[in-house]
Amino acid sequence: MAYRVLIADDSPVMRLFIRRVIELSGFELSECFEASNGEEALETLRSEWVDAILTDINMPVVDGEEFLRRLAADDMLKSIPAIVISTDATRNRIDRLMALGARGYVTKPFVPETLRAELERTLGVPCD
Amino acid sequence: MTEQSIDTALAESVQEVLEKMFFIDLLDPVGDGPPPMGIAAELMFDGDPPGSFRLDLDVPAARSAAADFLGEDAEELSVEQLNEVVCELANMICGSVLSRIESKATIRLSKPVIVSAAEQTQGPAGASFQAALGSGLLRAEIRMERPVCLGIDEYES
Repeated sequence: MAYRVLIADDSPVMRLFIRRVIELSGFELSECFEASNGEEALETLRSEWVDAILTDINMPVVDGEEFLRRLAADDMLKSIPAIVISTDATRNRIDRLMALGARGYVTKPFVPETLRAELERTLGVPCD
Repeated sequence: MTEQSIDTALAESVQEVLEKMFFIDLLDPVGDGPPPMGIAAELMFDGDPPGSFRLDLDVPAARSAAADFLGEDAEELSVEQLNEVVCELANMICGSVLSRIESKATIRLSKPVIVSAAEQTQGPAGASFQAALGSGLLRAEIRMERPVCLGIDEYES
């Protein structure tokens, strides 16, 4: 099965890198949508269904924390698993974002296998 | 936390970020010498303590790193892409260092900005790490406004 994923990050090169890493990892991607902040991501989600969301924290307009709050408050969208990708590996931050509704957390730097494993875990993909 | 352990955290962070995210093997550290003069990115951070981080790369080093990061031909990269990748690299190294030395604090990084490579950051020098990268040099420096309060045992655990 191939999956539809949304990447929310204000850095175009980071979005390109994440997409490349997903492909390098062997994770089956059927469609990849991109947004430069939480608001753009929510707009995309109003017209496109995705299986998983990968989001940065520090973004303009609507940041990652507010994006998670709005996802959790939306009955249509709250079931979509969101994974945070961040440089911040402090316990306080991870706990805070998981409490806001994040289903996974990947700390930069990461290897492709780590991102794939987190995607598969949150999507409930059975292990090989 | 001692100055030596901040040096270690900085060196380990540079190596780990380049190895995992840029697919670049371990770098050979270069002792003190003239800093790279190409592209420089700087960011500020809040935390305990707050401070700033600066990353300098020679243009060939930046081009080589950006090509590895994006999986594209080095010669086809735009100046904008080079700048964005250097900013991302600065963000990741700084976040990695702070997560190692301030693991129990809440940290907040400002958005990295490109600064003049010729204009050095004012104030007392911080911990730095300089290494060869491709056909150029990379230099990372972290400055803290006051000493970190954690004990060495907490850092090592």
